[in-house]
Amino acid sequence: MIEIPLVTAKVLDSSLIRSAVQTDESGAVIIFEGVVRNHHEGHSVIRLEYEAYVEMATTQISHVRDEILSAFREREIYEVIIQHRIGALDIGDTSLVVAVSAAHRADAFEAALQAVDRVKETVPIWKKEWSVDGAQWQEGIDPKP
Amino acid sequence: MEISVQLFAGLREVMESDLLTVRLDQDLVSVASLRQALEEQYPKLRPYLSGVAIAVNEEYILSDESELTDGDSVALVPPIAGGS
Repeated sequence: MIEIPLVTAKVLDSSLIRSAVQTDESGAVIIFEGVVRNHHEGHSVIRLEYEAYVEMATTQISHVRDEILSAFREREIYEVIIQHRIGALDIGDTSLVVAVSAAHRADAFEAALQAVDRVKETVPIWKKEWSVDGAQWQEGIDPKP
Repeated sequence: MEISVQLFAGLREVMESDLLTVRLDQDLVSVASLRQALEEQYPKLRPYLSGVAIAVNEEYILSDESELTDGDSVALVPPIAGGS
């Protein structure tokens, strides 16, 4: 199996992640990409800079994967891979990939959505937003481990 | 006992450092007493501490009664904003 770093400063390669979750039993593969957009709460955004507590973010992403596999253990979810990018990202760049393979599409969609939500709730990553007025840390949420 | 505390993002910028050292008289220290020592020894942190989670060895600490031991890896985790 390919070794995929869960937190990386390199460009995320969703096709590589897709091949890593694909199994012969899978009837559905969901690839979710979180992408940097050009606006946030009514103002324009030029780029984002993500910072992580890399060791802990890696641990927490592993927990999310385990949590999803465990929550869906009766429902033929085969693999979950989550990868988060850090560093400076431009509009349109992918910051997060969540990939899920499952026997059936409904389970795959649900597991992927839950995985994305849990990443946002638990992984220690911060983003600084750059706009024409300068840079500021985006207001985050209290972690919900 | 001396504990090194890692800082990230906005907290790192406020403190102009990614690592703080906290000195405590006791050998056994709870997360609550670490918070108190941080407040006393780093007044600039005060406005932020109540909104900050504490992580020990890469896990969130859910109870301030949890105890720290020598060599623990401690970090302050301000509100998070990962994902897209």
